[in-house]
Amino acid sequence: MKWWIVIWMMLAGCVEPRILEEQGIFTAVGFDKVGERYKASSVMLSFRSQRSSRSEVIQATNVTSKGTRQDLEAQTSHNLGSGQLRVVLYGKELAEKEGIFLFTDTFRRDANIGSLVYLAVAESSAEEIVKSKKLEDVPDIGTYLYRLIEKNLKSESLLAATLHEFIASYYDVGKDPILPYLSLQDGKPIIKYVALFHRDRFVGKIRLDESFYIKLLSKKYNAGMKNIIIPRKNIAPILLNKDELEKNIKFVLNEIRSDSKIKLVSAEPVPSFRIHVKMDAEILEISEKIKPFTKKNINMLEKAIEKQMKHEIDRLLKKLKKHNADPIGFGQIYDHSLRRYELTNQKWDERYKKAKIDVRVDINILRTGTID
Amino acid sequence: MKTMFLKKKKIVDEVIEKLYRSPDLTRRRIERNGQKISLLFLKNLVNPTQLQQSVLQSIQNIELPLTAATIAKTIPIGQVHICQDVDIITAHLIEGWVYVCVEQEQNGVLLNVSEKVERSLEKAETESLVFGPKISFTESLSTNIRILRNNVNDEQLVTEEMIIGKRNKLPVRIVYIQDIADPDNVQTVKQRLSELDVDDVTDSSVLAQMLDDHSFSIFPQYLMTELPDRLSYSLLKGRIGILVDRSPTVIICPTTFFSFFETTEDIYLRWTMSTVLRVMRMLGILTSIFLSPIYVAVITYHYELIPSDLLLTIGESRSRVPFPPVLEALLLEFMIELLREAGARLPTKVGQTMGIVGGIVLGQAAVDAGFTSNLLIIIVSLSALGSFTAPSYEMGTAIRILRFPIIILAAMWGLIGIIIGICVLIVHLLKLTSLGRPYLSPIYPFRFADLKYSLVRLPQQFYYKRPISNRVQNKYRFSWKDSKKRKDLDE
Repeated sequence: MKWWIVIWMMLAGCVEPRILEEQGIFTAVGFDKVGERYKASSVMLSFRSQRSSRSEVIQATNVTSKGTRQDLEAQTSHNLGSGQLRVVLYGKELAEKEGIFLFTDTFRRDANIGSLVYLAVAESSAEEIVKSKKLEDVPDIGTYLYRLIEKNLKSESLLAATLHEFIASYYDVGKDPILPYLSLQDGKPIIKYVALFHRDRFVGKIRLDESFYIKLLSKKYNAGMKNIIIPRKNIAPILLNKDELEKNIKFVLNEIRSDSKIKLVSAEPVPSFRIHVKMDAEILEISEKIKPFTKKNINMLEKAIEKQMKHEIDRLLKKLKKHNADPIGFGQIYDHSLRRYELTNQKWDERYKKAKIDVRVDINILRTGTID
Repeated sequence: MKTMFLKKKKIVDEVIEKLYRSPDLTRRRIERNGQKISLLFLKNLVNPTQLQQSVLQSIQNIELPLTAATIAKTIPIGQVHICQDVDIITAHLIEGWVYVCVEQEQNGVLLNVSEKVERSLEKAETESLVFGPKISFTESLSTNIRILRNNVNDEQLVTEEMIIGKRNKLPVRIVYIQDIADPDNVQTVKQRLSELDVDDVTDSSVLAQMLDDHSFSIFPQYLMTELPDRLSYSLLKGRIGILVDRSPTVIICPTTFFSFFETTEDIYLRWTMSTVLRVMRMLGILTSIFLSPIYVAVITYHYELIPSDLLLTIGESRSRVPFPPVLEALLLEFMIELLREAGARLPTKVGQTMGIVGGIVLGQAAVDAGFTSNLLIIIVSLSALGSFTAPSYEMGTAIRILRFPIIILAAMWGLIGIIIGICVLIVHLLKLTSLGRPYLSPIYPFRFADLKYSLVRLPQQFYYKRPISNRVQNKYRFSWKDSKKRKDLDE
């Protein structure tokens, strides 16, 4: 019996081998919409013993996304493998007009692709970014984009970019996904904005410094940096030079640690939320000299920063509501707080527009510089 | 006795007949006052000076009349034996004894003047230590017993003798400490040895193979050592040693898997270092078994697993290689095994040169010729190094061989194949026994207190208890409380 099992296993043969150097390995794929067809641009690594160009872009257009894959296969002597896929880009037009869920869905079903693949929206077209040659020291564009997004996620300026997070937010009622928005600056891909989605459709973009507040409101925040600009008249008593009060003064806050609580205060007639953000920070930079940091002065400064932040958060929330994008997940909180109430996306879309959100920020300045 | 009276044949003649008239057999006749004495011995086996001074001279001086009894009483030789049986006499003669026969009496004395072939005490060769005692056992059983008695100064040390082999009789000593070793184990050893039905045992390693619980297993089941300190350490922890004449290695039993990765140096070094060294050795062994299979599996099936920084480097070096990864790996492993085997067979001086030539020149050329990737060279040499860290030569060899089936499994089913390999290996190790005791102890059956004897090392005061897995009779070495006190001059 024992031997039969062994023989049976031997006869069952082997798994289809996928030997490394025979694979054409994708590191990044970009999808664009061209008329009624889709255009896929893939960055393929091809291994050569000489250290020459090591990645190339191959392109195909077809009516379905998997159809493009077949067309791509026809263009190379390697077997296409997506096991090392790091970044998937969607052209802005595609994301805006069709939504990207159908594309992400096939990735989710493909066992070769990890759920930690980064997704991003490309300004103008994905093709341009994929074909960019300015990659710093990285050998291929896929790895460059991967590192770019990864670094910004780690430094807490981006909120979410993985396929997993996208799918999770998409399926969650009352929460919308958010992705990095890549643009070209002198031919080099950079992240300047964050793309807002309504369900799977791109609806608008906000600046990276605004996305700081999304993060501040929705998660615990650790060790980030933030510029803040305050009108000088708000802190007039602690200024040394009291002229030109209509101008601004800049602060850089560092080592920010924050925690926020969002509470549904009342559900009717309109949903009304109260957000309480507690924040510890230290001041790293001030654009001009001010009076010594006594307790009283620091209090005044804290008040001014709180006021400014509240103002900026309000402006951001207004923008989100205008785009009907809910990356913070107010809908979720609404849904969780009410029993026996089944929230649907349609219901929430209406209510979100009317929602009243009240923000309170508490800042505690721990240090005003490392030396003192 | 019967033949003697019936045929009236002399013992001496019979002995000569029995030894097929060996050219070595010498018969020396002495006559004192008409009494005839014959001395029979094999000339290359006896110590000539002892023969001359102790035997011949004293026979000249012994009071008359000469009888076997008076010779036995007065002669200045340790081992003396009055005997008439021809079989016994011949058996002793070929061991180098002298038979002194008083001819009127038809009786005689056997005297031990043998001289065994022996080398001097030397440093251990196969188990080399940087630190600690260097002396090693030799091929002579009596010398080995002497060394052991020197090392274990305990009257409870028992050295029981047994003779194994029907034709080529081999004296074997079972050594253990009476009030520590488990009597069951001692009984098992004795039983197994006495039940052995062989004509000839060449060496202690052959004896160990005969005693194996599972002779089809790849793993050695008895620890072989040539270090007296290792034997005495094991005896004091409740193990049993088997010393075999004509063999410089001693069998220690029962043995666990982990004891093959211990050296006595671990005990001599401070505990921090030896813990690190032990853990490193275990990692080395794991590397040795699994690194090249993992390479094969990843390159053949799971390129997703390669970190993106390494992807290009690996891909570039692989792109020149014309073989599939399995063949590449097997080829290189085979090459390294060839190098090792050639180095072991050649004389020391040539062996070293060959290692360098083979290792550097061949490796470099293989990469340049696009025969293998440079990564694989690193992996294969790492795994070879890993297997050499096993202090036991036998275990090191077993581990090197173990790699090959796992490489083939990896080539067939990728990482799943490796996992199948690991499962089979673990099941096998769990089933193995050494002298009927679990091989994988103290991991299975789990004995937390014994981990300090196998996987890690702790400061000395924690070793107040002997290992539980050895089922020792005398459990404590010293009192735990006293060991924590360190007295100062003031106290």
